[in-house]
Amino acid sequence: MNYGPLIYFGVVTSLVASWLGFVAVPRTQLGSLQPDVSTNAANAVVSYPAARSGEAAQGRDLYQSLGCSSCHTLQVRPQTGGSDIARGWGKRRSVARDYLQDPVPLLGNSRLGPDLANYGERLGTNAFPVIRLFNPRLVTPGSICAPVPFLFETRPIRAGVGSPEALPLKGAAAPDAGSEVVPGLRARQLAAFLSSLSTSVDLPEAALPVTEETAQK
Amino acid sequence: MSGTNSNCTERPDAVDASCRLPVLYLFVGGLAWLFAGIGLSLLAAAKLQFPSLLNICEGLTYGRIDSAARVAFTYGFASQMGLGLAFWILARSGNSRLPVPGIAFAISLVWNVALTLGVGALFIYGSTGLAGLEIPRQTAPLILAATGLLSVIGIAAFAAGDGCSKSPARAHLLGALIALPVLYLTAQLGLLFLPIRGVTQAITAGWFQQGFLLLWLAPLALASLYFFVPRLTERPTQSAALAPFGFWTWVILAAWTGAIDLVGGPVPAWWVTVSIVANVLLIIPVVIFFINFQGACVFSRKIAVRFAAISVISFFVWGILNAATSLRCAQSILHFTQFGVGLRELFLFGFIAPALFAGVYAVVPRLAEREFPCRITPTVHWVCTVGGVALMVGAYTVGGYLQGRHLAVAGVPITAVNASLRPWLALHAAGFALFGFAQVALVANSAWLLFECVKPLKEPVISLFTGTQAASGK
Repeated sequence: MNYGPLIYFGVVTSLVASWLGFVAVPRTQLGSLQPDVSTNAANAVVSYPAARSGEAAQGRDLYQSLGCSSCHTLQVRPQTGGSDIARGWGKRRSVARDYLQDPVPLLGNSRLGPDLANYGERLGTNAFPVIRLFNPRLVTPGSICAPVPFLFETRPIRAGVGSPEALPLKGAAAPDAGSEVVPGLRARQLAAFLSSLSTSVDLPEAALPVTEETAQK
Repeated sequence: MSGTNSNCTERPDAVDASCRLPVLYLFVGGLAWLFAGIGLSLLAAAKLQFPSLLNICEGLTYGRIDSAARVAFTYGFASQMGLGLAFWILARSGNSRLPVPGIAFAISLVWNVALTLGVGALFIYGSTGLAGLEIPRQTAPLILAATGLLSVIGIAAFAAGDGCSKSPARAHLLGALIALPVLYLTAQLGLLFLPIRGVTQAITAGWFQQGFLLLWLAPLALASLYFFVPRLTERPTQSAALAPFGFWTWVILAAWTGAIDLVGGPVPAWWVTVSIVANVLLIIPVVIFFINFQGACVFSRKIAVRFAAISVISFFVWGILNAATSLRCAQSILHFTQFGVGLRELFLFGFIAPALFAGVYAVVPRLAEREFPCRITPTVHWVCTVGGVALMVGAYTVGGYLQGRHLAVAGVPITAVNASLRPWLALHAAGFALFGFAQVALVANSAWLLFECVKPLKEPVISLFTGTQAASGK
């Protein structure tokens, strides 16, 4: 079995063949994918996925850097592949076009926490509860999500008037008298990213399910 | 242990002498990274039980610690120890000295410094978000350069061989030494420096990750088994004719397994289907390897054979589980659960690590020119390794399956899923602690061996101060 050149040729050929299949062909097949352009109810041209706001884009980088992907996915499987849609984590399966604006697609591979692909949509009209980042268990008792209090600032209450952004902390979690805990810039960025997460857009390759409302239209 | 062909040019002790410095250094480095990984994994496990633990800065988030532990195990421990073993096996089976041992040692030193910087950068800047390629781009090229040079030295060691040995170990090692730089260079270019677009990155990352495990680490472990099992059991490989078939089917199929983590994901289905087929067909080389190594699965007093037996059995179980759970119907339950982590740990700590330990127990006495001094610690090492891996893998495969069953029911909230998972997480952490304790036994024995090695050197030095040498001289 000690035929050096044969082994060299065989291993390299195998790697090149799989590289063509897994890297080159995907690039050919998906490399030219463009955002979907359509007109909305107000006849305005909208593009999906739209570029994230600066704050949300920086929040995405923070999500990646903190390693949130270790416990959260950003992908919804099709109805036949799991309970994702039944759980309300998305209305349709995720497709390649959903990730066109992401420098790195943070699909994730563990669900110690819920999927977040449509977290912003699940919030509805409510603002993101930033206190969840300070300590998730204040919002969801029993959560094993790690708090990120280092994104917050504890500061003295200025001129006797509390900040409107101050966290409503009570009991043992409350800061010293005369102090308040407010989200720092990066906590706001992360909140902006999580609030921006939504994939409920009708695409040619992944249609939204027909509801009574859409059927009437 | 060497061949007896008349063409053999180097005496075994001369070959060992050429390998001594770089190989022992790589073993010590690998062991140090193993401890670093175990420490980080235990910290990550503690954070899952107590989420507020050490949440003082972003360098200690669960995500970063978990990523750093994976890097420590795959790059620091398995790659390094496997490389040391590769150098020795290539030199010894080829009856030739290791080329440029001093340079090999120096590059290994640089490699360790680069990896330390890489893990430091991971704690400071965070992960790249790409599984298997977590080290940030600031330090990744230095690791690539050192890896490439070490591979070249390994290939040179293969080329320097006299052709006496027909051991399949040499073919596996050459394959691994060719695959690693090709995989690592391609992945770094396509993901870190000239990143391709969108989800194709996830496919490339999967291709690299599976390639790293199956085409780099696995051949190192298989080479260790092919080289040591027949010699230690004094029984030839079951079927030498099957070895090339096993090697080539493995090389061809393993390269196509990369998209298995994307089942149901946002990629065209055919890539995933190709990977499922490759993962299922991988059972063919696994069975071939099992047939060839079944000789190791006997009771033996030799500790290296006992470790080889664990490695062979784990590999076979991994092959069966990997093939069965690759199917879409299984993945709809098991995907995103701890089951996948457990399966990977079975591969890394059940198959790769014991194969490397078998090599360490066989090689170190030859390099140190004396046996391991303690006869009890190897048994402690073996028993605790087996117990630790069984607990770890058992907890995550059973716990992961139950987690998947709960996740499949839409009405069960995540907090309830995790509440039922927490005992399994704790059991897994206990298994890791036992596995860590096992390695303490290896380190204690190695430290004793080191002491035994330096004692003859120390005595004359001490006698200089005590005057005993002068007295004896008279």
